[in-house]
Amino acid sequence: MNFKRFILHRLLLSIIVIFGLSIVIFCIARIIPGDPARMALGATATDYALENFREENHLNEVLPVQYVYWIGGVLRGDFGISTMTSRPVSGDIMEFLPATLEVVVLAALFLVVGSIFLGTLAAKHRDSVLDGLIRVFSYAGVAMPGFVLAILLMLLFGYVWPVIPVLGRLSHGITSPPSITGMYTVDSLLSGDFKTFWNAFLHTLVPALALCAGGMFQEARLVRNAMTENMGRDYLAAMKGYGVPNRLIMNKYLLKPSLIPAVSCMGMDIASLMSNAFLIEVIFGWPGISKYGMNGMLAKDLNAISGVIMVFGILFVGINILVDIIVAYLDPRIRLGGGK
Amino acid sequence: MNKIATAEETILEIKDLKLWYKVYKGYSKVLDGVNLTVRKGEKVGIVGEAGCGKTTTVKSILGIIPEKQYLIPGGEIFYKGKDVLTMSEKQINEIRSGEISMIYQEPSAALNPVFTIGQQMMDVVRFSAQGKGKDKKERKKMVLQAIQDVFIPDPERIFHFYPNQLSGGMKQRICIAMAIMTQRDLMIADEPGTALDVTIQDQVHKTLNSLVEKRNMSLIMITHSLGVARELTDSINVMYAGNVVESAITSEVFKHTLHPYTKGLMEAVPRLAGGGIQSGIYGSIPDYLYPPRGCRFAPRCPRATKECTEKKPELIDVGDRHKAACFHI
Repeated sequence: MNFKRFILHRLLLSIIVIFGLSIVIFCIARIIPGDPARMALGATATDYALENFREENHLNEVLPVQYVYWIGGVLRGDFGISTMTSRPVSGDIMEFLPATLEVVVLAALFLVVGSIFLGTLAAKHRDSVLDGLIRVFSYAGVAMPGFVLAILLMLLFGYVWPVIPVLGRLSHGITSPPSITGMYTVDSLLSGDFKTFWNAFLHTLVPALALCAGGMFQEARLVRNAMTENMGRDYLAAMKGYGVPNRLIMNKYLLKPSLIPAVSCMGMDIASLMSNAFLIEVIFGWPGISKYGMNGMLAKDLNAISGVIMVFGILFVGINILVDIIVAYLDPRIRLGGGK
Repeated sequence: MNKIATAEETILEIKDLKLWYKVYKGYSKVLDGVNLTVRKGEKVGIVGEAGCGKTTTVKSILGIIPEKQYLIPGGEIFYKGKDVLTMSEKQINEIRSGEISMIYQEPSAALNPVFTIGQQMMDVVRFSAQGKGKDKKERKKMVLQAIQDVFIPDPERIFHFYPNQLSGGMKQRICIAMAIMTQRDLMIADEPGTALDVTIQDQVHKTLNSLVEKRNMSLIMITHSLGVARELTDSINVMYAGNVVESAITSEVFKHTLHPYTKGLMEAVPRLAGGGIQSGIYGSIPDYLYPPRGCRFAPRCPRATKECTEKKPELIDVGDRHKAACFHI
């Protein structure tokens, strides 16, 4: 009962957050210097054409009125026309978002599985060479930006040891699968084309690795520290004292309480994978939404900027709710509000 | 008259147990030759101030001090004639799951905060000697029965509770329930009730006492309070800095107190009848990294002589099951 109310509360709160975000985004997009009409139509456009463009896009109205026009469209799923591509922004997002999601989802998967696995391993072999190695990697992960790692990985797999493709979404000569979700790996699986799936998967591998590595090693450290800290707890000694086998104590009674700090941190990291994806997309020639959004900013494409950031915002908030729910599941003290 | 007179069978015997913790600077030599005997059906008290090695002693019986953290340079722990220190993990697990159970000092620390009472107790039963091979329904019945046995109403509801939904007294009862779920021969209670207020503490002690008597278990009761020990035990072992310094039948300890440390402990008890707090003992427990060479109590002892600082006094028989480790008795 309490749990349902907790989730409802988070959902209502997130609607307010997204509404606030829409106002901020709308204003910021219009504060960036540059005349959107001039940027869209080019240096040779006539005054008449510019005026016409402004009139069409309600750019002559005061900001609040402009906002009402825009948010009205957004609520109907219409983000307006992109001046870059001359297509509806919603269509552009539908095209570019799946490509990014494909990488981000795999990166998130690596992040979660990798950090728990490595963290547990390091905790089990505390103060060994392996533990030290993971420690070094975690410091390196904090210190090294994702794009440096991306370039290093590219060098490794593109030049030194070319076993995994490092550019684009598919190899030359392989046709893209029929578009169902827009994610090549999923679409090829759905249409039963395993060759394409494998190829698409390999292409996703290195970008995803470059994207998640920093967070993964950091969270592995968090899991490791929580585990070593909890290892001395009386409740584990008690379980051992009652004859419960060590394997069960480790994988159940030690792991669950030790995941709580790492999961909160993972949530933030996974949510920011979306925006961090930009440099990765540029480096790996990945036609994703971050790249689209960044190009939109350079071109002062108001609708594209607002649309992309709204999508990021909604995903960010959504992931945070999900993480809150997972943390509440893991920790009854949060779920039950500490009371009776 | 006394149980000890009738039941002479020894169930547990600790002989000259030494245990050192590994710390950054070297070895913290906590246990310095502990001797302890528990007979069948006997209630044995271990009394001493915080940090004297009471908990370490009993934890080493079950082998539940985290590995890599300690070293046992000498000593033996015989349980029913077999040395647990030389047992394989499998053998000692049989003792943990069927012979000895322990109640931990701090109930909030002894229960896992992220699992329900039921989840934890079900796993304990599942791997106990009696619960092995039983199906889930039977095991749940055992758990509910145990919760009822410690006088908690509505066990079915408590079964689904998390530890933080219970009061301190309830948590301590659950800890006791966990320890008495299946038949054991020896119960170790590490200061049950210390974390609770006095009235609840009294209830917990009574619950524990009646269960131990009803099931004919032996009991090792750790406490820092001589009053509690006097009420609940048949014999008392007074520990100081990793040694048992005096051991006798409970009434004997109070009638003919021999060791200066025991005397100090008794004088430190505030009396309601007036006079306030008596002299007590000054100073604190020695640094286990560099313990005194002779008697570890010598630096705080009002009767210490040169001999005390050079030689360690053995725990010697002074008649009528009364032992003490002091040169001046």
